[in-house]
Amino acid sequence: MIREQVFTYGEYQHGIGVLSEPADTTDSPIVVLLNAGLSHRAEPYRLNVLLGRKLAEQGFIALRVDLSGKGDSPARGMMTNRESVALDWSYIRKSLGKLYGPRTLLIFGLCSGADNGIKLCAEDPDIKGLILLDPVSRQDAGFAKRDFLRKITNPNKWANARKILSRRLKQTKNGEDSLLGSPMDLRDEPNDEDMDRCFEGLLRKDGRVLAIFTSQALYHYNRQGQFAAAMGIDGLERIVDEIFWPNTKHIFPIQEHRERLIETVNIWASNQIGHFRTLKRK
Amino acid sequence: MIEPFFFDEGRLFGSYSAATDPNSDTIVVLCPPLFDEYRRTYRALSELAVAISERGVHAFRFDYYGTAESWGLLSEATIERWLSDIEKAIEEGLAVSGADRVVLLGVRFGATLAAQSQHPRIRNWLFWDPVVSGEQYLDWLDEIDHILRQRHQSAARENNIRFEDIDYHNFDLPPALATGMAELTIPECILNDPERCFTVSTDPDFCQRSGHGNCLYPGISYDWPHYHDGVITQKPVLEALLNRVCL
Repeated sequence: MIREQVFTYGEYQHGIGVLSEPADTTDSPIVVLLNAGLSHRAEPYRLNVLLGRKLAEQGFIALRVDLSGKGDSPARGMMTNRESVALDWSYIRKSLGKLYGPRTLLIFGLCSGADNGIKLCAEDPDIKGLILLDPVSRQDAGFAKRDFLRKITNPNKWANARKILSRRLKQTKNGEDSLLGSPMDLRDEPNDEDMDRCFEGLLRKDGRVLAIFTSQALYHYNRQGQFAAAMGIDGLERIVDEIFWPNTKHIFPIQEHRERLIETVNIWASNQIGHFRTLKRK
Repeated sequence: MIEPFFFDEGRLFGSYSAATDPNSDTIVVLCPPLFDEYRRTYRALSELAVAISERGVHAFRFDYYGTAESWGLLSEATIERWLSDIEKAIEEGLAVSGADRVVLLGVRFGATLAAQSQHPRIRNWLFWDPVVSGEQYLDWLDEIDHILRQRHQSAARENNIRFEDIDYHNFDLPPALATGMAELTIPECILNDPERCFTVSTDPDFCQRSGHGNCLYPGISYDWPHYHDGVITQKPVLEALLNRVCL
């Protein structure tokens, strides 16, 4: 049986979240579920609520939280996104520390949640696990070839070649390419240094990563296993589990896709909880 | 300032925003929309509740059973349960605020549900794009499922991957819930009562079509069934609602 309680953080305790706790929280690692884009802490489509409760049933403490300016948490002025997220995180850690003492921390994040998770992981030694949906991935040596093959063998492209070419030319003429080239352009992605520090650190700490990629990632990811391989960190594959679902949309609008995601994360978490508990004692 | 808490023995989740006027005798209870429309409007309703409280009126938001932060699964939800949740939210709002008058603010299908309440403390109803017919709303939900299927199909074609032939439902509605939803309408006697009800509609034709004088088009249109990934921040709508609450 799990229980839930409201969580607050910040200078004035105005930052809001909800904790799902297992019956026994001794040694429970904590998973913090960050906002996906502009959505509030329960979303998209209640995913964070249902997943948080499942993780609590496994023995994790799960916190879904609104960062400043999202959901029910008021915005902070005069700060970059990176500064605001870092400050939020320091207060979230303080509030969690008061409730549970030192714990192994994991971050779950979709889209900008994944970006924030990687940036925070680069700075925080207690973050030892990441569950990332559509994180940034480096391209490996074969990416361009696979991408070219996928496009060149697409019968739809050939059938509509004239239309596609004319649309492209129009976009270029109107200067739309820079804005519409990739949805990744709209994200505050982690930089190379964040990526290296985060994943080198996780390998050193014997952390664990689950990275799931959807159709959104096709701009930069097109092969299961590419993420860990392209990072160029020896041994990273050992701690990274990768899944590629090119049929799934970025924010999981289809119930069957959400159920598959929850089941996948749940199985991974159940396999890893013993390891995360051991890490706490090290 | 938002004070979130669980009520109804932990089954329902609510958020109270206390009025800046300590003598306020009115609370606005917000009945949110459902499904994807809740995702789109969440921040807008959160900001609206805070704005209402800053204008000196209490505000209380809540989640229906099986939705958002409240307990349970959508598969366990029924219309009777949701109607009872509204009554519980009204009681909780009155208890926590000390107010004795209720304005029930319903958004989309939240308006349809709100219109069924006969709680004696309700003084007014305020609707944002009310769903007048539950049956029509289910058609809209089907349309969203259809749009989602089409988008997955065209993405598969575009990306040169095999199309996955599954049920493309945004949410699987349990049959009893769908039947209950289809049976609900907003009674004309409420919608057309200028003393007790006011509607803000982003459908430019709604006010004229319905013939109601107690209706406002805020000068901005919104196509609800057209599915998109974004969120709504329609200032003119929120201002129109806020002005009406604080008349």
